[in-house]
Amino acid sequence: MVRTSPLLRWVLRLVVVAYLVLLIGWPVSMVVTHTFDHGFSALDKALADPNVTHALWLTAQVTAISVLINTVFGVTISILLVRYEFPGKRLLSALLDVPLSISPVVVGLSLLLVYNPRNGWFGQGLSDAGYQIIFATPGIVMATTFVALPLVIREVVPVLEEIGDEQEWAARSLGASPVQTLRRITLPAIKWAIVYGVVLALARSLGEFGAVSVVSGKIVGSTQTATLVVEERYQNFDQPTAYAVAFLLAFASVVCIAIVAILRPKQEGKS
Amino acid sequence: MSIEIKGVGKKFGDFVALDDVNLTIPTGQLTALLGPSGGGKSTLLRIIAGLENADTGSVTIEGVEATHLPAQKRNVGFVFQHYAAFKHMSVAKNVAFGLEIRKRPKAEVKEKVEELLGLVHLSQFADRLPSQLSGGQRQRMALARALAIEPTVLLLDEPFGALDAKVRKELRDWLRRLHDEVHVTTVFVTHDQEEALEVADEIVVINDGRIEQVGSPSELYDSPANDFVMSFLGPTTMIDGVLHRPHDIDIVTHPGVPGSLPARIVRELRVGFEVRLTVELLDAAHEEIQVTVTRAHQRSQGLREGIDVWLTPTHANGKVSESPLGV
Repeated sequence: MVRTSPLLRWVLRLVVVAYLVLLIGWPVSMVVTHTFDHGFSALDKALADPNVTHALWLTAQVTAISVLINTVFGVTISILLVRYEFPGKRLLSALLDVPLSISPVVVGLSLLLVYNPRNGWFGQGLSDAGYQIIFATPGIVMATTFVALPLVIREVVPVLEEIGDEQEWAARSLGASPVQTLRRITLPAIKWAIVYGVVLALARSLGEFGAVSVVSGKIVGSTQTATLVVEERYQNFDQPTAYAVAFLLAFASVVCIAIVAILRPKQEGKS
Repeated sequence: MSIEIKGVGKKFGDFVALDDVNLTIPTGQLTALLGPSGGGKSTLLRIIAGLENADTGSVTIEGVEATHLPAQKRNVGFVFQHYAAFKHMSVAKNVAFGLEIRKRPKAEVKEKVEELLGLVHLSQFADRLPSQLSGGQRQRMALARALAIEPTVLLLDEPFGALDAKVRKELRDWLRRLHDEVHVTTVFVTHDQEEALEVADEIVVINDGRIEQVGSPSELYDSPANDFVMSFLGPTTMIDGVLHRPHDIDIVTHPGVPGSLPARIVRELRVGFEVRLTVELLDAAHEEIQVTVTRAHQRSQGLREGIDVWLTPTHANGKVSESPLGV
C-alpha cells in the first residue's frame, strides 16, 4: 500500500464527488424534481396521452427486439472471435467498434442511403416486395441494434478469453457434443458477462436518439419513440410531459442496473 | 495392444511438433511420455485424445480406428495440468458430468459419484465448488471426473505440474496406488524424470518430435540408447568424451589401480545424505568432473577440498566396464 496523508485522501474524495455531482448527479436529479414538481400530475397526464403511451410501447418493443438480436449475435460473434481462427478476424474485431466510434446520426444516414424506398440499394427491391424499412419499425430496430451492437461482445469476449478452452475440451472428452458443451459449460461460464452486456445494450437501446431520429421520420403516434417524444414535447413547450418521459427512461435504466447489482453473485470473479 | 500410433506427424506452422512417430502403448499399464518442454509429448497426448488432429498417420485405440473420431466419441479420460474444473458446478456435479451426458439413471449416477469421490478421498467435499478446493484436491476431482466414464484409456497432461513439491510427491504415490487398483490403461506426460522413473511401468522418451527410446525405468536408466536419454534421466558428467553417472565413479585417496585418473577435489557440496564433489583432472585439459558419494563414504575416505584423489569410472553409458577394485 502506498501511504497517503489523510488530507490528500479527503481532497481526492471531494474532487471525485464534486465531479460526479456536477456532471451526473445534479442534472439527473433535476429531471426527477421537475417531473414531481406537482406530485404525480405530470406523469398521470403524460401516461393519459395516447401518443406518449404509443411511443413508450414502441420504445419497449424496439428495445426488446434489438436486445434479443444483439444478445444472440453478440454471443455468437464473441465465441467466433475468441475460439476460432479465420482470415479477416482482426478486421472484424476492429469493425465491431465502429458503432461506438461513429456518431449515431451518421448511422441513421447510412441506413437511410441503403434502405430508403426511392433510391436505396436494397430499399427499392424491398419496397417493391412490400416491405418498408425506413420510416417504419424495422428501420428503428435496425438503427437501435446497430448502435448497441458492440456492448454484449465487449463484455463477453474478455470473459471467454479468461476462462480458456480447457473446460470445453474437458467436456468434449467426457462425451459432450458441441451443442451440449455450449449449453452446459460455455454459456453458464459467461452468464454474468451476458447479463451485464444485455443491461448495457438495454440502457443504450432505450436511450437511442440520433440514429432513430433520422430513420424514423418522427411520425407522431406512429414512428415516434420515447426519446423523440421528449425532444418534440420540450420544443413545443409541453415540458411536464417531456420531463415525465425522460424520467421514465432514466428510471428504467436505473432499475435494470440495480437489479443486476443485487443479483450479482458475491464471489463473482474468484477463480 | 491398447493404443497404436502409426506414422503420426504434426506441424504448427513451420514448427515440427511430431515427426513420423510410431508407438504401441500396452493395455493396463502406466506409461510415461517423458521429455523436455516443446518436445512434442503433450501434442502426442492431445492427438490420442482427439483434442488435436494429426497431419499424417493414424491412431488406433483398443482396436478401434480413432484417427478421425471426434474427442467425445473416443471414450478417453483426459486430465489437464490446470484441472479444467467446471467452476460453476459442485464437485459431485463435476464428477457426474460424463454420466449425465450419457443419460444414465439418476440412482446409478449418484452411486457411481459416491464411489469415485470415496476413491479420491473427496467424499466430504461433494457439495463444494472447485474454487473452495486446494490444487491437489481439484486435480483428484478431475481424475474422478475422467474415471467416471470408465474410459478405455486415461490420459494425463502434466497432471502434477501446477502443484507444489510436497503435494506433487503425495499425488504421485497415490496415482501409482490408484492405478494398481483400477488398472485402466494410463498415459501421462511429464518433464520430470524422477516422476516418470518412480511411477511408470514404461517410459517413452520424446525429444524434438521423435521417440528417443521406449523401455522400463530400469532399462532406460541402466542402458540408455543415447546420450540424450542418459542425460535426461539423471545427472551426468563427462570423462574423455564419454558420459558417466556421478555416482558411478569410484574415488579413492591413494593410487595403485591401473588406469585410474589422478585428480584434485576443488569443491564439495553437501545435499542431504549425499555429497557432490567437483574434481579437476590433473592432466593437460584440467577437465572438471562431478562425483557423487554418500556422506558416510566421504567421512571414511576423508574426502575434502584440496586433496588429491584417483578416479575409476565403473559404468560407461550403461555398459559395465571392468572394475579393477571389484566393487
